Amino acid sequence: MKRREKSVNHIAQVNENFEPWEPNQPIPIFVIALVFALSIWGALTYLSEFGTVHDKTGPETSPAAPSTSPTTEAQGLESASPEVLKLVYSGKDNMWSCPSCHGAAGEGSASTPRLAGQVADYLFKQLEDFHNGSRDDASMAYVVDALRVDERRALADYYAQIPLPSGVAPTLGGDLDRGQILAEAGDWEQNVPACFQCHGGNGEGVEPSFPGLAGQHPQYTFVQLARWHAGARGNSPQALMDGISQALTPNDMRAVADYLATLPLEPVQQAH
Amino acid sequence: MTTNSTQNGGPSRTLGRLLKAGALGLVLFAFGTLAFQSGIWNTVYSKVSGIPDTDQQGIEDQALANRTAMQAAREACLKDVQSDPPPVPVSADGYYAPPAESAIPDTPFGESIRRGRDIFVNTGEHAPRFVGNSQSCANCHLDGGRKEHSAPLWGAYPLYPAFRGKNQKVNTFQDRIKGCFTYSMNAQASPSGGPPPLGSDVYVDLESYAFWLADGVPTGAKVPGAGYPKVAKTELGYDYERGEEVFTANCALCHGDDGQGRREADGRLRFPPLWGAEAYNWGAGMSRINTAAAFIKANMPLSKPNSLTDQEAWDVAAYISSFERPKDPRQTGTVEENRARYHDGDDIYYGQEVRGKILGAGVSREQTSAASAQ
Ligand code: HEC
Ligand code: HEC
Ligand code: HEC
Ligand code: HEC
Repeated sequence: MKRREKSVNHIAQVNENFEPWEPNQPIPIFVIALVFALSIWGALTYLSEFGTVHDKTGPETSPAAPSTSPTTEAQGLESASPEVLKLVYSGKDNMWSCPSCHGAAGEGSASTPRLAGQVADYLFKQLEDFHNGSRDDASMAYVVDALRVDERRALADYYAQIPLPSGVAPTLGGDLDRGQILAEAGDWEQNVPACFQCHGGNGEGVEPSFPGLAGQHPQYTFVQLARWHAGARGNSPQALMDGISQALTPNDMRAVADYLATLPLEPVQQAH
Repeated sequence: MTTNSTQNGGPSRTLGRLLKAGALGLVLFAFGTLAFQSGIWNTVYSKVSGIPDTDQQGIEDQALANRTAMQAAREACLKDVQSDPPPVPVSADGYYAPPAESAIPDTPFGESIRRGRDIFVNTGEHAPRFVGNSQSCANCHLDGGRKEHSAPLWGAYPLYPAFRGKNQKVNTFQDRIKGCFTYSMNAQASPSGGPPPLGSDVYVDLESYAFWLADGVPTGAKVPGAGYPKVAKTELGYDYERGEEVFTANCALCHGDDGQGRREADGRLRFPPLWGAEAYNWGAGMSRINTAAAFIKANMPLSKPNSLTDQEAWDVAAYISSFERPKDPRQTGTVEENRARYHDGDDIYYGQEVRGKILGAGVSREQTSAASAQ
């Protein structure tokens, strides 16, 4: 009842010629609602990412999912000169160390990519691209600018030689059957060859230019495809990935990113 | 603000409003999520951006509906030959739509189709006795022989038997494939020393696969997308030296600076070699510059068809054809004689001097491994 009185009072003060609503109400409600929506969304996103990083035992879809930590499974973590190891683990000047974002064994998480076992020349090219700005990422640009070119080469080679089994599983709710078709057969009507035609028969990459996709975090894969789709990543040789990503719908990207996360990473049988 | 809030009812009022806002926020969020998951977003997005919403299901459904219509018309024809002829199933991009791989029947015939597909896609593994290089049929007939403008099997199968100038006789479909084994697959260097004999299971299975892919194209009909589309001659003609630049910029990424293709770490071939002992031989259609230009313009670089100009396609075709490859199996006498007999008037460097050497003598695997051992 008190409330009614107040609003009656309130209305009495208002200029009669003016539209009879409370002018400051609709906008704050809308803004507050938005803030709430955003923060809930943020919290959910955080929770889901937090879940994938820490829930290494979870996924039923990947029977080989490791129950041990990446550092105990990875090999070659120490096979580099002391200078390179120092660079990796302690960073340099103000630069953050690589493991602070990419994980102790280069296993990555969510939208920070796995580096372990990736094609060496590809990693090096990316570091150069972050450096010359053709690939745009604020944190990596900051990190890379603190490094000399020989250090970039050494870091690329260091991460490339770390064999590490896949520790990922689908997280995006993509259609795995559709993902498999895209990965193995492509969608030629859209000029999308099979991903495996360029990225290797099991998605393990082809030296020197084609990165491995198997074992990569599905969020990261999805984000990269989305960036090419939107024109926000521009460093693919001959703009190959630009054309391919632009032909994919968001559902296709989810599907293929998730499917690639189901692949085991077999240790490579060296050719003789 | 303070005056405002006291005016509006103090803390309890603010709390109420906060709760309402929270509830509304939730509702908004739920609504947004639902709207996104319903796919409306994709549809609107593709309308506004002009990027087609490739609904794979939709495309497949359309092709399937076309096939169902074809079956229905076929049954009508059984009762009345005069009824409308079955329509050709067509895909969204306007070319003949071959049946989906998942539609291969589970019958003995289906088994043969599957074997044919495997041979076609991975020839070295499934017909190893007859392959003398590192090529597969699908390297030149893309998407497992389905892709328009890369001489798809469905474009070829309904046109045989036919008279061919190349060997001056009526060729069956088996004869035609035998030609590809002899030249494109360089069967002379294979373990068996030649192409599969006519009637071999290899041909039978490949024929089953081709028949099945072409089921829907009327016999004798040449349909759009068959063969490789010709590239018009250009004023400048072709020049392998200009072609080198085109190659470095557009092709070396996959085929290698030395044209020897790329292999995976386990040794499996990923990108085919374009010249040298592991490539198609001097008798193959692809070694003619006009044919190579046609294939390249419509299919290369992979995933970017028709991105080269006609001039670039001619020049880069000339470049890849300006290196040695396995010898023409028809050659009995000298290269000059063979040129006069089989290559006269062709757009080919066979028997011509390039970089100070007459091309055509051929390279073999033995020569290549001897050279690399040195
Ligand atoms: C502040 C966090 C952070 C640090 C520290 C960091 N990275 Fe990164 N790195 C990222 C993120 C995020 C991306 C993905 C960028 C994108 O989405 O484009 C990335 C991407 C990369 C890539 C590209 C990988 C690919 O698959 O394309 C390489 C290579 C890389 N980082 C190497 C390094 C090295 C080496 C170090 C240590 C010197 C390092 N990073 C330190 C956050 C970090
Ligand atoms: C025509 C060859 C080709 C095909 C087909 C292809 N890719 Fe790529 N892809 C590339 C190249 C080249 C790069 C390296 C880009 C660079 O150097 O920045 C790449 C990079 C990527 C990356 C970035 C990896 C990383 O670590 O940042 C992703 C993700 C990717 N491709 C996904 C796919 C998917 C999914 C498909 C299938 C739908 C596909 N690609 C098909 C050529 C191809
Ligand atoms: C090096 C590339 C190459 C390879 C490998 C290859 N072909 Fe061909 N094929 C061609 C060319 C070039 C033509 C001629 C097309 C034209 O002139 O329109 C052709 C034509 C054909 C045709 C007739 C097409 C038509 O439209 O008339 C068939 C059928 C065929 N090939 C089957 C095969 C089979 C089966 C294999 C594997 C055993 C194979 N090809 C391997 C390049 C190749
Ligand atoms: C992104 C990688 C890529 C690029 C770039 C590329 N190709 Fe290819 N090329 C392939 C693949 C893969 C095949 C085999 C097709 C298949 O199996 O689907 C092929 C097949 C061919 C063939 C068939 C003959 C054979 O030996 O099998 C020719 C000729 C060819 N490419 C020429 C070129 C030329 C010329 C360029 C440059 C204009 C080029 N390619 C650029 C990947 C590529």
